Amino acid sequence: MRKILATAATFGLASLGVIVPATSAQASVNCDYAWNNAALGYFYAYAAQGCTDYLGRSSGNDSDWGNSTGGFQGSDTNRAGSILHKGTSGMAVQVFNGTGTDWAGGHTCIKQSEYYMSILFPHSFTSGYQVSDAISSHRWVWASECDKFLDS
Amino acid sequence: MRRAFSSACTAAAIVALTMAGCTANETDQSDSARQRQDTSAENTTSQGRELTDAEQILVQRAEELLVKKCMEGEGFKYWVGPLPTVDDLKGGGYVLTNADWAKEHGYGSRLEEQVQVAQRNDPNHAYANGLSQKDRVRYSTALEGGPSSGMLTAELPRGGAIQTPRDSCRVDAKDQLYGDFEAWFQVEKTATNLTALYAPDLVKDERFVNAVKDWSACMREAGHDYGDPPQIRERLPELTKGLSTEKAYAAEVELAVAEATCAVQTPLAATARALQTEYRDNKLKQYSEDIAAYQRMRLAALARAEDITGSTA
Repeated sequence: MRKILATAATFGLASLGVIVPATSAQASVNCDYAWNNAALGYFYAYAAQGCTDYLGRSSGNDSDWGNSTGGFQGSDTNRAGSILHKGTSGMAVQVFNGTGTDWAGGHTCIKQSEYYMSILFPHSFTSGYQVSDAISSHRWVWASECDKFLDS
Repeated sequence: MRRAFSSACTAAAIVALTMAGCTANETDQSDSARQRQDTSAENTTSQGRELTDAEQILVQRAEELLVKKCMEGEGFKYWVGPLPTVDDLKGGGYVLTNADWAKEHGYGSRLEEQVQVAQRNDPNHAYANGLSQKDRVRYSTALEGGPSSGMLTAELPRGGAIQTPRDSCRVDAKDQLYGDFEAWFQVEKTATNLTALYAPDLVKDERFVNAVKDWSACMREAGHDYGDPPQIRERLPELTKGLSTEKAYAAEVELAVAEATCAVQTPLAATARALQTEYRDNKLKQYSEDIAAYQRMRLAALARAEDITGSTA
Protein backbone atom coordinates (compact mmCIF):
# COMPACT_ATOMS: atom_id res chain seq x y z
CA MET A 1 0.00 0.00 0.00
CA ARG A 2 1.25 3.42 -0.84
CA LYS A 3 -1.17 5.16 1.43
CA ILE A 4 0.21 7.16 4.29
CA LEU A 5 -1.79 6.51 7.41
CA ALA A 6 -0.86 9.81 8.96
CA THR A 7 -2.42 11.53 5.99
CA ALA A 8 -5.58 9.55 6.43
CA ALA A 9 -5.73 10.48 10.08
CA THR A 10 -5.27 14.13 9.22
CA PHE A 11 -8.06 14.04 6.70
CA GLY A 12 -10.26 12.22 9.14
CA LEU A 13 -9.77 14.78 11.86
CA ALA A 14 -10.23 17.62 9.41
CA SER A 15 -13.50 16.14 8.27
CA LEU A 16 -14.77 15.74 11.77
CA GLY A 17 -14.05 19.39 12.35
CA VAL A 18 -16.45 20.62 9.72
CA ILE A 19 -19.04 17.92 9.39
CA VAL A 20 -21.74 17.34 11.94
CA PRO A 21 -22.16 13.59 12.19
CA ALA A 22 -25.61 12.55 11.13
CA THR A 23 -27.64 10.08 13.08
CA SER A 24 -28.18 6.76 11.39
CA ALA A 25 -31.78 7.65 10.55
CA GLN A 26 -30.86 11.07 9.18
CA ALA A 27 -28.08 9.58 7.15
CA SER A 28 -30.42 7.02 5.63
CA VAL A 29 -33.03 9.63 4.76
CA ASN A 30 -30.39 11.75 3.04
CA CYS A 31 -29.01 8.75 1.17
CA ASP A 32 -32.52 7.76 0.10
CA TYR A 33 -32.83 11.18 -1.52
CA ALA A 34 -29.43 10.80 -3.18
CA TRP A 35 -30.35 7.30 -4.34
CA ASN A 36 -33.55 8.46 -6.02
CA ASN A 37 -31.68 11.22 -7.85
CA ALA A 38 -28.59 9.23 -8.83
CA ALA A 39 -28.04 8.25 -12.46
CA LEU A 40 -28.11 4.54 -13.15
CA GLY A 41 -24.77 2.91 -13.90
CA TYR A 42 -22.69 4.97 -11.50
CA PHE A 43 -20.88 4.63 -8.21
CA TYR A 44 -20.98 7.77 -6.04
CA ALA A 45 -18.92 8.91 -3.06
CA TYR A 46 -19.54 11.73 -0.61
CA ALA A 47 -17.28 13.40 1.92
CA ALA A 48 -19.92 13.47 4.63
CA GLN A 49 -22.06 10.78 6.13
CA GLY A 50 -25.56 10.50 4.70
CA CYS A 51 -24.55 10.92 1.05
CA THR A 52 -23.93 14.66 1.34
CA ASP A 53 -20.94 16.78 0.29
CA TYR A 54 -20.61 15.14 -3.13
CA LEU A 55 -17.10 14.06 -4.12
CA GLY A 56 -17.71 12.47 -7.49
CA ARG A 57 -19.15 9.60 -9.46
CA SER A 58 -17.76 6.98 -11.82
CA SER A 59 -19.09 4.39 -14.25
CA GLY A 60 -15.62 2.83 -14.62
CA ASN A 61 -12.51 2.22 -12.52
CA ASP A 62 -10.32 4.80 -10.81
CA SER A 63 -7.02 3.42 -9.47
CA ASP A 64 -6.02 6.65 -7.74
CA TRP A 65 -8.51 9.08 -6.25
CA GLY A 66 -5.66 11.47 -5.52
CA ASN A 67 -4.44 12.09 -9.07
CA SER A 68 -5.95 14.27 -11.77
CA THR A 69 -7.76 11.59 -13.79
CA GLY A 70 -10.91 9.55 -13.30
CA GLY A 71 -14.15 10.26 -11.51
CA PHE A 72 -12.39 11.10 -8.26
CA GLN A 73 -9.45 13.48 -8.15
CA GLY A 74 -7.05 15.39 -5.92
CA SER A 75 -8.36 15.83 -2.42
CA ASP A 76 -11.06 13.18 -2.93
CA THR A 77 -8.66 10.52 -1.72
CA ASN A 78 -9.08 9.48 1.91
CA ARG A 79 -12.17 11.67 2.32
CA ALA A 80 -15.22 9.50 1.60
CA GLY A 81 -17.66 9.28 4.49
CA SER A 82 -20.45 7.57 2.55
CA ILE A 83 -20.80 5.75 -0.78
CA LEU A 84 -23.65 4.77 -3.09
CA HIS A 85 -23.94 2.06 -5.77
CA LYS A 86 -26.49 2.50 -8.52
CA GLY A 87 -25.18 0.15 -11.17
CA THR A 88 -27.49 -2.37 -12.77
CA SER A 89 -24.80 -4.44 -14.50
CA GLY A 90 -24.72 -6.93 -11.63
CA MET A 91 -21.18 -5.98 -10.68
CA ALA A 92 -19.96 -4.94 -7.27
CA VAL A 93 -17.83 -1.90 -6.56
CA GLN A 94 -14.62 -2.81 -4.73
CA VAL A 95 -13.11 0.11 -2.81
CA PHE A 96 -9.48 0.07 -1.70
CA ASN A 97 -7.37 1.54 1.02
CA GLY A 98 -4.43 1.86 -1.39
CA THR A 99 -3.86 3.02 -4.93
CA GLY A 100 -2.55 1.43 -8.11
CA THR A 101 -3.69 -1.06 -10.71
CA ASP A 102 -2.31 -3.97 -8.70
CA TRP A 103 -5.45 -3.44 -6.61
CA ALA A 104 -3.60 -4.60 -3.52
CA GLY A 105 -4.05 -4.02 0.16
CA GLY A 106 -7.27 -3.89 2.12
CA HIS A 107 -10.59 -3.64 0.35
CA THR A 108 -14.31 -3.93 0.87
CA CYS A 109 -17.25 -4.12 -1.52
CA ILE A 110 -20.67 -2.66 -2.03
CA LYS A 111 -22.82 -4.88 -4.24
CA GLN A 112 -25.80 -4.27 -6.45
CA SER A 113 -29.03 -3.74 -4.49
CA GLU A 114 -27.10 -2.77 -1.37
CA TYR A 115 -27.88 0.88 -2.19
CA TYR A 116 -25.39 2.75 -0.05
CA MET A 117 -23.21 2.79 3.03
CA SER A 118 -24.64 5.90 4.64
CA ILE A 119 -22.11 5.93 7.47
CA LEU A 120 -18.76 4.33 6.71
CA PHE A 121 -17.47 4.46 10.28
CA PRO A 122 -18.45 0.93 11.31
CA HIS A 123 -17.04 -0.62 8.13
CA SER A 124 -13.50 -1.95 7.85
CA PHE A 125 -11.28 -2.99 4.99
CA THR A 126 -10.10 -6.60 4.81
CA SER A 127 -6.83 -5.30 6.28
CA GLY A 128 -8.66 -4.21 9.42
CA TYR A 129 -8.36 -0.45 8.82
CA GLN A 130 -11.50 1.66 8.93
CA VAL A 131 -13.06 2.49 5.58
CA SER A 132 -14.24 5.95 6.61
CA ASP A 133 -11.94 8.67 5.23
CA ALA A 134 -9.64 6.02 3.79
CA ILE A 135 -10.87 5.07 0.30
CA SER A 136 -8.19 5.81 -2.30
CA SER A 137 -9.31 3.81 -5.36
CA HIS A 138 -12.15 1.68 -6.69
CA ARG A 139 -13.03 -0.73 -9.47
CA TRP A 140 -16.07 -2.64 -10.75
CA VAL A 141 -15.76 -6.40 -10.28
CA TRP A 142 -17.85 -9.54 -10.41
CA ALA A 143 -19.08 -10.10 -6.88
CA SER A 144 -17.08 -13.29 -6.31
CA GLU A 145 -13.90 -11.22 -6.48
CA CYS A 146 -14.88 -9.54 -3.20
CA ASP A 147 -14.13 -12.48 -0.93
CA LYS A 148 -11.41 -14.45 -2.68
CA PHE A 149 -8.20 -15.77 -1.13
CA LEU A 150 -7.14 -18.18 -3.88
CA ASP A 151 -7.99 -18.41 -7.56
CA SER A 152 -10.28 -21.13 -8.89
CA MET B 1 -44.23 -8.16 -8.09
CA ARG B 2 -44.84 -11.18 -6.01
CA ARG B 3 -42.98 -12.88 -3.25
CA ALA B 4 -42.78 -16.65 -3.31
CA PHE B 5 -41.63 -18.31 -0.15
CA SER B 6 -40.62 -21.91 -0.09
CA SER B 7 -37.92 -23.67 1.77
CA ALA B 8 -35.09 -25.39 0.05
CA CYS B 9 -33.11 -27.72 2.24
CA THR B 10 -30.50 -30.31 1.60
CA ALA B 11 -27.78 -31.54 3.89
CA ALA B 12 -25.48 -29.19 5.74
CA ALA B 13 -21.90 -28.66 4.75
CA ILE B 14 -18.63 -27.18 5.71
CA VAL B 15 -16.91 -24.83 3.33
CA ALA B 16 -14.81 -26.47 0.69
CA LEU B 17 -12.24 -24.77 -1.40
CA THR B 18 -13.41 -24.00 -4.90
CA MET B 19 -11.07 -25.73 -7.28
CA ALA B 20 -10.79 -25.47 -11.05
CA GLY B 21 -13.92 -24.22 -12.79
CA CYS B 22 -15.58 -25.21 -16.04
CA THR B 23 -17.04 -24.01 -19.31
CA ALA B 24 -19.26 -25.47 -21.96
CA ASN B 25 -16.43 -27.06 -23.89
CA GLU B 26 -15.31 -30.62 -23.42
CA THR B 27 -12.09 -29.87 -21.60
CA ASP B 28 -13.72 -27.56 -19.15
CA GLN B 29 -16.61 -29.90 -18.53
CA SER B 30 -13.96 -32.26 -17.26
CA ASP B 31 -12.79 -29.45 -15.00
CA SER B 32 -16.33 -29.08 -13.77
CA ALA B 33 -16.62 -32.73 -12.93
CA ARG B 34 -13.25 -32.58 -11.22
CA GLN B 35 -14.36 -29.59 -9.20
CA ARG B 36 -17.44 -31.40 -7.97
CA GLN B 37 -15.36 -34.43 -7.10
CA ASP B 38 -12.71 -32.35 -5.38
CA THR B 39 -15.18 -30.45 -3.26
CA SER B 40 -17.19 -33.52 -2.33
CA ALA B 41 -13.99 -35.29 -1.46
CA GLU B 42 -13.12 -32.52 0.94
CA ASN B 43 -16.60 -32.70 2.46
CA THR B 44 -16.61 -36.28 3.52
CA THR B 45 -18.92 -35.45 6.43
CA SER B 46 -21.44 -33.49 4.42
CA GLN B 47 -23.24 -33.27 1.12
CA GLY B 48 -22.86 -29.54 0.58
CA ARG B 49 -20.45 -27.89 -1.77
CA GLU B 50 -19.64 -24.63 -3.48
CA LEU B 51 -20.99 -24.05 -6.98
CA THR B 52 -18.62 -24.31 -9.89
CA ASP B 53 -17.94 -21.13 -11.82
CA ALA B 54 -20.20 -22.27 -14.66
CA GLU B 55 -22.98 -23.08 -12.19
CA GLN B 56 -22.69 -19.62 -10.64
CA ILE B 57 -23.09 -18.09 -14.07
CA LEU B 58 -26.14 -20.23 -14.81
CA VAL B 59 -27.80 -19.03 -11.59
CA GLN B 60 -26.97 -15.43 -12.51
CA ARG B 61 -28.48 -15.93 -15.97
CA ALA B 62 -31.66 -17.34 -14.45
CA GLU B 63 -31.88 -14.39 -12.08
CA GLU B 64 -31.54 -11.98 -14.99
CA LEU B 65 -34.28 -13.79 -16.94
CA LEU B 66 -36.60 -13.52 -13.95
CA VAL B 67 -35.77 -9.84 -13.52
CA LYS B 68 -36.45 -9.21 -17.21
CA LYS B 69 -39.85 -10.90 -17.00
CA CYS B 70 -40.74 -8.89 -13.92
CA MET B 71 -39.55 -5.56 -15.35
CA GLU B 72 -41.47 -6.14 -18.56
CA GLY B 73 -44.50 -6.87 -16.42
CA GLU B 74 -43.98 -3.44 -14.85
CA GLY B 75 -44.00 -1.87 -18.31
CA PHE B 76 -40.25 -1.39 -18.83
CA LYS B 77 -37.69 -2.75 -21.24
CA TYR B 78 -34.88 -4.80 -19.72
CA TRP B 79 -31.81 -6.41 -21.25
CA VAL B 80 -30.29 -9.53 -19.70
CA GLY B 81 -26.70 -9.23 -18.63
CA PRO B 82 -23.87 -8.57 -18.78
CA LEU B 83 -22.83 -11.91 -17.37
CA PRO B 84 -19.32 -13.12 -16.50
CA THR B 85 -17.56 -15.87 -18.41
CA VAL B 86 -15.90 -18.75 -16.58
CA ASP B 87 -12.54 -17.15 -17.28
CA ASP B 88 -13.75 -13.91 -15.71
CA LEU B 89 -14.32 -15.74 -12.44
CA LYS B 90 -10.91 -17.40 -12.36
CA GLY B 91 -7.68 -15.66 -11.46
CA GLY B 92 -7.13 -13.18 -8.67
CA GLY B 93 -6.43 -14.12 -5.09
CA TYR B 94 -3.10 -14.24 -3.26
CA VAL B 95 -1.32 -16.37 -5.86
CA LEU B 96 -2.18 -17.70 -9.32
CA THR B 97 -2.23 -21.50 -9.45
CA ASN B 98 -3.59 -22.12 -12.95
CA ALA B 99 -0.80 -21.77 -15.53
CA ASP B 100 -3.19 -22.37 -18.45
CA TRP B 101 -5.36 -19.45 -17.37
CA ALA B 102 -2.26 -17.33 -16.79
CA LYS B 103 -0.97 -18.15 -20.27
CA GLU B 104 -4.25 -16.97 -21.73
CA HIS B 105 -4.91 -13.96 -19.52
CA GLY B 106 -1.76 -12.97 -17.63
CA TYR B 107 -3.03 -11.36 -14.44
CA GLY B 108 -6.35 -10.66 -16.12
CA SER B 109 -5.73 -7.06 -17.18
CA ARG B 110 -7.60 -7.44 -20.47
CA LEU B 111 -10.48 -9.24 -18.77
CA GLU B 112 -10.63 -6.36 -16.32
CA GLU B 113 -10.84 -3.88 -19.18
CA GLN B 114 -13.64 -5.91 -20.74
CA VAL B 115 -15.52 -5.94 -17.44
CA GLN B 116 -15.25 -2.18 -17.26
CA VAL B 117 -16.54 -1.79 -20.82
CA ALA B 118 -19.42 -4.17 -20.10
CA GLN B 119 -20.34 -2.24 -16.97
CA ARG B 120 -20.23 1.10 -18.77
CA ASN B 121 -22.17 -0.16 -21.79
CA ASP B 122 -24.96 -1.99 -19.98
CA PRO B 123 -27.92 -1.02 -22.21
CA ASN B 124 -30.16 -0.80 -19.16
CA HIS B 125 -28.21 2.26 -17.99
CA ALA B 126 -28.77 4.21 -21.19
CA TYR B 127 -32.42 3.18 -21.36
CA ALA B 128 -33.20 4.11 -17.78
CA ASN B 129 -31.25 7.36 -17.85
CA GLY B 130 -33.20 8.33 -20.98
CA LEU B 131 -36.50 8.12 -19.14
CA SER B 132 -38.19 11.15 -17.58
CA GLN B 133 -37.28 11.80 -13.96
CA LYS B 134 -40.65 10.43 -12.83
CA ASP B 135 -40.33 7.26 -14.90
CA ARG B 136 -36.67 6.83 -13.92
CA VAL B 137 -37.64 6.77 -10.26
CA ARG B 138 -40.45 4.34 -11.06
CA TYR B 139 -37.99 2.17 -13.04
CA SER B 140 -35.45 2.22 -10.26
CA THR B 141 -38.08 1.36 -7.67
CA ALA B 142 -39.39 -1.52 -9.76
CA LEU B 143 -35.89 -2.89 -10.35
CA GLU B 144 -34.19 -2.27 -7.03
CA GLY B 145 -37.02 -1.27 -4.71
CA GLY B 146 -37.08 1.78 -2.53
CA PRO B 147 -37.23 2.83 1.10
CA SER B 148 -41.03 2.73 0.98
CA SER B 149 -40.87 -1.02 0.48
CA GLY B 150 -39.00 -1.39 3.77
CA MET B 151 -35.43 -2.45 4.18
CA LEU B 152 -33.78 -5.60 5.43
CA THR B 153 -30.59 -5.24 7.44
CA ALA B 154 -27.74 -7.72 7.76
CA GLU B 155 -24.80 -7.34 10.13
CA LEU B 156 -21.45 -8.03 8.51
CA PRO B 157 -18.91 -10.31 10.25
CA ARG B 158 -16.26 -7.57 10.25
CA GLY B 159 -18.64 -4.95 11.57
CA GLY B 160 -21.04 -2.58 9.93
CA ALA B 161 -24.37 -3.43 8.38
CA ILE B 162 -25.81 -3.66 4.88
CA GLN B 163 -29.36 -2.86 3.87
CA THR B 164 -31.42 -3.99 0.94
CA PRO B 165 -35.09 -3.52 0.00
CA ARG B 166 -37.71 -6.12 0.85
CA ASP B 167 -39.51 -5.83 -2.43
CA SER B 168 -38.40 -5.32 -6.03
CA CYS B 169 -38.04 -7.26 -9.25
CA ARG B 170 -34.52 -8.17 -8.13
CA VAL B 171 -35.87 -9.41 -4.80
CA ASP B 172 -38.61 -11.38 -6.56
CA ALA B 173 -36.04 -13.08 -8.75
CA LYS B 174 -33.81 -14.03 -5.83
CA ASP B 175 -36.84 -15.14 -3.84
CA GLN B 176 -37.88 -17.52 -6.60
CA LEU B 177 -34.35 -18.84 -6.98
CA TYR B 178 -33.25 -19.15 -3.35
CA GLY B 179 -36.66 -19.91 -1.83
CA ASP B 180 -36.59 -17.26 0.91
CA PHE B 181 -35.00 -13.95 0.04
CA GLU B 182 -34.82 -12.66 3.59
CA ALA B 183 -32.95 -15.74 4.79
CA TRP B 184 -30.77 -15.68 1.67
CA PHE B 185 -29.80 -12.06 2.22
CA GLN B 186 -28.68 -12.79 5.78
CA VAL B 187 -26.58 -15.87 5.01
CA GLU B 188 -25.12 -14.43 1.81
CA LYS B 189 -23.86 -11.34 3.62
CA THR B 190 -22.18 -13.56 6.20
CA ALA B 191 -20.80 -16.28 3.95
CA THR B 192 -19.26 -13.88 1.45
CA ASN B 193 -17.53 -11.68 4.00
CA LEU B 194 -15.38 -14.17 5.87
CA THR B 195 -11.99 -14.26 4.15
CA ALA B 196 -10.69 -11.30 6.10
CA LEU B 197 -11.37 -13.18 9.34
CA TYR B 198 -8.71 -15.82 8.64
CA ALA B 199 -6.48 -14.80 5.71
CA PRO B 200 -4.33 -12.27 7.64
CA ASP B 201 -3.38 -14.98 10.16
CA LEU B 202 -2.98 -17.63 7.49
CA VAL B 203 -0.33 -15.70 5.56
CA LYS B 204 1.69 -15.39 8.79
CA ASP B 205 1.54 -19.14 9.47
CA GLU B 206 5.05 -20.61 9.41
CA ARG B 207 3.95 -23.35 7.01
CA PHE B 208 2.68 -20.74 4.59
CA VAL B 209 5.73 -18.51 5.04
CA ASN B 210 8.02 -21.45 4.26
CA ALA B 211 5.99 -22.35 1.19
CA VAL B 212 6.29 -18.78 -0.05
CA LYS B 213 10.07 -19.00 0.42
CA ASP B 214 10.14 -22.13 -1.74
CA TRP B 215 8.02 -20.36 -4.35
CA SER B 216 10.38 -17.38 -4.28
CA ALA B 217 13.38 -19.64 -4.85
CA CYS B 218 11.60 -21.24 -7.80
CA MET B 219 10.86 -17.82 -9.26
CA ARG B 220 14.47 -16.74 -8.81
CA GLU B 221 15.63 -19.82 -10.69
CA ALA B 222 13.23 -18.85 -13.47
CA GLY B 223 14.81 -15.41 -13.63
CA HIS B 224 12.24 -13.49 -11.60
CA ASP B 225 13.40 -12.25 -8.21
CA TYR B 226 10.33 -11.67 -6.04
CA GLY B 227 9.77 -12.32 -2.37
CA ASP B 228 6.06 -13.07 -2.70
CA PRO B 229 3.27 -12.96 -5.30
CA PRO B 230 1.81 -9.57 -4.27
CA GLN B 231 5.23 -8.03 -4.96
CA ILE B 232 4.86 -8.90 -8.65
CA ARG B 233 1.48 -7.17 -8.93
CA GLU B 234 2.87 -4.13 -7.17
CA ARG B 235 5.91 -3.84 -9.45
CA LEU B 236 4.17 -4.76 -12.70
CA PRO B 237 2.94 -1.25 -13.61
CA GLU B 238 6.49 0.10 -13.28
CA LEU B 239 7.96 -2.85 -15.17
CA THR B 240 5.65 -2.32 -18.14
CA LYS B 241 5.77 1.48 -18.15
CA GLY B 242 6.72 2.81 -21.58
CA LEU B 243 6.32 -0.55 -23.31
CA SER B 244 3.98 -1.03 -26.22
CA THR B 245 0.62 -2.60 -25.37
CA GLU B 246 1.71 -5.92 -26.83
CA LYS B 247 5.07 -5.97 -25.04
CA ALA B 248 3.47 -4.96 -21.76
CA TYR B 249 0.95 -7.75 -22.06
CA ALA B 250 3.67 -10.25 -22.96
CA ALA B 251 5.60 -9.23 -19.83
CA GLU B 252 2.43 -9.62 -17.74
CA VAL B 253 1.77 -13.09 -19.17
CA GLU B 254 5.37 -14.22 -18.65
CA LEU B 255 5.30 -13.28 -14.98
CA ALA B 256 1.82 -14.69 -14.41
CA VAL B 257 2.76 -18.03 -15.97
CA ALA B 258 5.96 -18.17 -13.92
CA GLU B 259 4.02 -17.37 -10.74
CA ALA B 260 1.41 -20.08 -11.37
CA THR B 261 3.96 -22.64 -12.51
CA CYS B 262 6.10 -22.13 -9.41
CA ALA B 263 3.01 -22.23 -7.21
CA VAL B 264 2.27 -25.80 -8.31
CA GLN B 265 5.89 -26.93 -8.71
CA THR B 266 6.58 -25.94 -5.10
CA PRO B 267 4.35 -26.72 -2.10
CA LEU B 268 2.77 -23.24 -2.18
CA ALA B 269 -0.50 -24.01 -3.98
CA ALA B 270 -1.17 -27.20 -2.06
CA THR B 271 -0.15 -25.63 1.26
CA ALA B 272 -2.36 -22.60 0.67
CA ARG B 273 -5.39 -24.75 -0.12
CA ALA B 274 -4.82 -27.05 2.84
CA LEU B 275 -4.34 -24.13 5.19
CA GLN B 276 -7.40 -22.39 3.84
CA THR B 277 -9.50 -25.43 4.71
CA GLU B 278 -7.84 -25.70 8.13
CA TYR B 279 -8.23 -22.02 8.98
CA ARG B 280 -11.82 -21.87 7.81
CA ASP B 281 -12.66 -24.95 9.87
CA ASN B 282 -10.99 -23.51 12.97
CA LYS B 283 -11.79 -19.83 12.76
CA LEU B 284 -15.23 -19.79 11.23
CA LYS B 285 -16.99 -22.26 13.52
CA GLN B 286 -19.49 -19.66 14.70
CA TYR B 287 -20.56 -19.11 11.09
CA SER B 288 -20.83 -22.79 10.13
CA GLU B 289 -24.64 -22.82 10.11
CA ASP B 290 -24.80 -19.73 7.90
CA ILE B 291 -22.18 -21.20 5.55
CA ALA B 292 -24.12 -24.47 5.35
CA ALA B 293 -27.36 -22.61 4.68
CA TYR B 294 -25.63 -20.51 2.03
CA GLN B 295 -24.43 -23.63 0.23
CA ARG B 296 -27.85 -25.33 0.54
CA MET B 297 -29.66 -22.34 -0.86
CA ARG B 298 -27.22 -21.95 -3.75
CA LEU B 299 -27.61 -25.61 -4.70
CA ALA B 300 -31.38 -25.25 -4.58
CA ALA B 301 -31.08 -22.12 -6.74
CA LEU B 302 -28.99 -24.07 -9.22
CA ALA B 303 -31.72 -26.69 -9.62
CA ARG B 304 -34.29 -23.95 -10.18
CA ALA B 305 -31.96 -22.12 -12.56
CA GLU B 306 -31.68 -25.26 -14.67
CA ASP B 307 -35.47 -25.35 -14.96
CA ILE B 308 -35.72 -21.64 -15.71
CA THR B 309 -33.00 -21.58 -18.36
CA GLY B 310 -33.67 -25.06 -19.70
CA SER B 311 -29.94 -25.78 -19.59
CA THR B 312 -27.24 -27.13 -17.34
CA ALA B 313 -23.82 -25.80 -16.48
